[in-house]
Amino acid sequence: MRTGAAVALLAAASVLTTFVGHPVAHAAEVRAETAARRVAVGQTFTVEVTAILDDGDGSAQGPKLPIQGAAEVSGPSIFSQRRVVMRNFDVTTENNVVATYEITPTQPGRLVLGPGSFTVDGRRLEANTLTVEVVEGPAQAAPPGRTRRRDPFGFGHDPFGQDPFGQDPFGRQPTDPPSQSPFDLFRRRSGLSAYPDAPAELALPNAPNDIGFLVAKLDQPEAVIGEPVVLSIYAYGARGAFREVSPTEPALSDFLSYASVETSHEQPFYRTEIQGREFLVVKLRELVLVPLRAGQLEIGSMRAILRGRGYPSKNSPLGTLTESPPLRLPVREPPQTDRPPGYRLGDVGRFELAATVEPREVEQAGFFSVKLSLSGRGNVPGSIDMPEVPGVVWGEPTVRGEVSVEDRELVGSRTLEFTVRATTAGTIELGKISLPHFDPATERYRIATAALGSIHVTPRAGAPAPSQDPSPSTAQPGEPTLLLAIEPRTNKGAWRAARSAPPVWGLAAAVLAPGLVWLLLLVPTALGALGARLRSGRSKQRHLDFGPLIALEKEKGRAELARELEQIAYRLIEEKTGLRARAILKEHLAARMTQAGLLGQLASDLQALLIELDAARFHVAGSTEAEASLAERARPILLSLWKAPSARKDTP
Amino acid sequence: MSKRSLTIALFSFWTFAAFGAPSTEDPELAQAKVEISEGKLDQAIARLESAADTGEVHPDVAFSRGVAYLRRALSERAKPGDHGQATAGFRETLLLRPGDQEAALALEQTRLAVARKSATRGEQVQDTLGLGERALLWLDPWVLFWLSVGASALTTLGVVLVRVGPRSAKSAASLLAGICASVLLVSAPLTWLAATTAESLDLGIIIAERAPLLDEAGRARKGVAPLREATEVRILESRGPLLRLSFGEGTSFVRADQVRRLRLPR
Repeated sequence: MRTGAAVALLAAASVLTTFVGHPVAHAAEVRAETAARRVAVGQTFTVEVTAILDDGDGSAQGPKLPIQGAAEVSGPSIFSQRRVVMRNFDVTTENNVVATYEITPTQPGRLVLGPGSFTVDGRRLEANTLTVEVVEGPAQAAPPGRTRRRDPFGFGHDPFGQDPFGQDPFGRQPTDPPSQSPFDLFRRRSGLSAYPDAPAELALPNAPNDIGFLVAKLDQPEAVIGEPVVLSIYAYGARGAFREVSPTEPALSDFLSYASVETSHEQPFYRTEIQGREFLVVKLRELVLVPLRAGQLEIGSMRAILRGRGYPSKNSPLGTLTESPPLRLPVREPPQTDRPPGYRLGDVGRFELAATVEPREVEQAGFFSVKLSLSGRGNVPGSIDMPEVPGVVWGEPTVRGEVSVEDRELVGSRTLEFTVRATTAGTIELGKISLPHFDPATERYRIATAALGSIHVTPRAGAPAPSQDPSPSTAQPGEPTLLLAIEPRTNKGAWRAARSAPPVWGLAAAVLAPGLVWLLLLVPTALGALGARLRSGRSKQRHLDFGPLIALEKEKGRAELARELEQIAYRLIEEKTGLRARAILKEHLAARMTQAGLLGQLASDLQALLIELDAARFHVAGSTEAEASLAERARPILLSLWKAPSARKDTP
Repeated sequence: MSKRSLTIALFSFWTFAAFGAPSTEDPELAQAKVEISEGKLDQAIARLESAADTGEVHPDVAFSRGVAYLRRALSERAKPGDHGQATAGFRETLLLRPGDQEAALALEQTRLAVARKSATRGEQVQDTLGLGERALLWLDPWVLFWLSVGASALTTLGVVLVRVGPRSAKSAASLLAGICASVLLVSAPLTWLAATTAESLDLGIIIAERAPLLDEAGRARKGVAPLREATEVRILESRGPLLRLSFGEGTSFVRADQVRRLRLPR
């Protein structure tokens, strides 16, 4: 019995030792948490997807949170924390990577969140799926982001967590930025003085906004194509600590971009004073940009919401929306002077080149390898022009290596491995490889070179004898030989360097000249007509003087008098009525003149006078008395007509 | 003298008359020619491209560059886009010197070679320039201008004779004025159109084997065939890494590095 009891005790101790004495293997896991179970439409709540990693685990990357249902999602914002955990009397450290999503439902119904996941060591680990019910109604205060705050010491419960009365002992609001250490809370409580002072370059003369704003800076005012420049974007906030939410990255379409700071979550906050007001400042982004073309290149604005307790919802329900002003960077080509042949725009930096060739002896039509190692600071090129060497054919290179940012500088290396075919037998001098590039530090061109040496190509049995023609340019079968017959030129012939358009004034003159000449030729005719008209106007009967008429009658006779009187009568009729009375039968004249507005009696008298004058012109009859009476008879009638008001209409 | 010799002689006279005195040998071009003849095509191309990078615009430099690219396109070391680069060189030559017959021949033959290559793959080279634009680019505004001036002078003479000339010459003068006025009415607008087209058109040549047509965001447009190498395109604007092209009735985008813009003095 005693023996049996001893054996049982030993077995129990062994089991206890197994499960208690040795640490339990703890694999990486992913959890998803939210406090929200029932929210209103428009009410924002947070979901945290946490990757819990032990010391031996790799890094957690690529958080994902698929969502089924109508909702707007922002994030994730990612931060990591390191904790000391005691499990079964074994103290271990644990790294947590937390991805926080902010979700605002837009329609009532049900939201299915997840499974949230992270990629850990190449495997995608998934968390549990969460379900949140969305109801109609006014938005309420956002629920806490987490149901259970992780304690910083690994006791499994946060000693500073919610108190039994449901209040945060430090009065922290649910929307506060997540604390990265328990001391952050004390630091916030004690004001901004707990933060270190900002470096001098972050000091600003004035603040564009009293609450918060973004500032973008370049480390140099101008650049050449391919020269790296550093873009730093800082967030300034005057209402205490904040974190960036829903960032929109700046548009950089004219640049290659390499990030050295991708998020502000692990960046330190500094305190600075602007016009007597304290601000916290943190670096949001730091990018090394490589301009791709010349000109005034635009760097777009970055937008981010500053979220924190003191940051009001300004243009966004999540916090204060801020935007950095866009920048313009003047970019030019490297100088033309001393530019070496073969320089390619964009090769800017300081590079070194090394080359290895192996094997050095190959059979004709065999292959050998040329490996180029290119390294240095700057935008390390990914290709190199290989030399023209008769007797070898270069293949396309295999390129390895990359460029990264180190201490705000682009550094990197690339290896280009060429497979080369030797086509002719003999010793082939491979020459050297050159990489002309521009060093912005010295503002001069450099040429990185590497000698390739020579290879010996042994003839292959049955291979054709080496060609004496050094040219590797041979026409493909079937290609038209006409193309190969086109020879390059050696002379720069004259040409119209200024491809100027013909002068518009010349063209206009050519078009208008015939018309103008035509008009000029019409001028004499027009002037003649105008003169006649003027003369006609001038000859208007200003007064009737019968003295000369009587004299005329005596000198030239009755017929001449009649003609003159008739002309006076017709002129006055035309003047007063517009009628050309000569063209009207005398019998109808009175009626027409009456129609034209003359008094009926006057019209009748005129008709009778004109008939009489007509007769007098062609019939020599009567005595001198009678002749004298013609002028006397005409006088009152013509005077009446002369005095009569004008009845002339617009149309004759 | 054969007809061909007469043509060459006339052409030479025209070239001399139009473009001035004969030229002297240029050391860079001569060196490039030596390199091309020795098969050092990359060196020759680098030399000629370097000249272009310095901002030099000259029809003979562009022609030699086209020849260098063409030789490489026909060699074992051909690179994608060589045919397009050659086309660009010859086209630039023709735009700078419209009467260059050798460049016209080289351009035609290079395009034929590209068309032949495309046809073997069952692809077709598209033309993105309209017939009107093509015709206006072909016309020389200065020739049209002097034609307009001549027609204007003869029309004026006819008008004068009609008005003040002897009665016997009036019929002939009317006929002369009518015909010349008609010529003037056609040539003057054409002069203006050709000049403005040559000034405003921003042309380029596709230098990739295939340049996919993209939308504004740089995504490939579905159901649209890519532009083939050596296609001449009209560039409307540059938007970052993309170029907006006039494409038939609409517009489309391609990557800027797949197009070589033709350089013309403005």
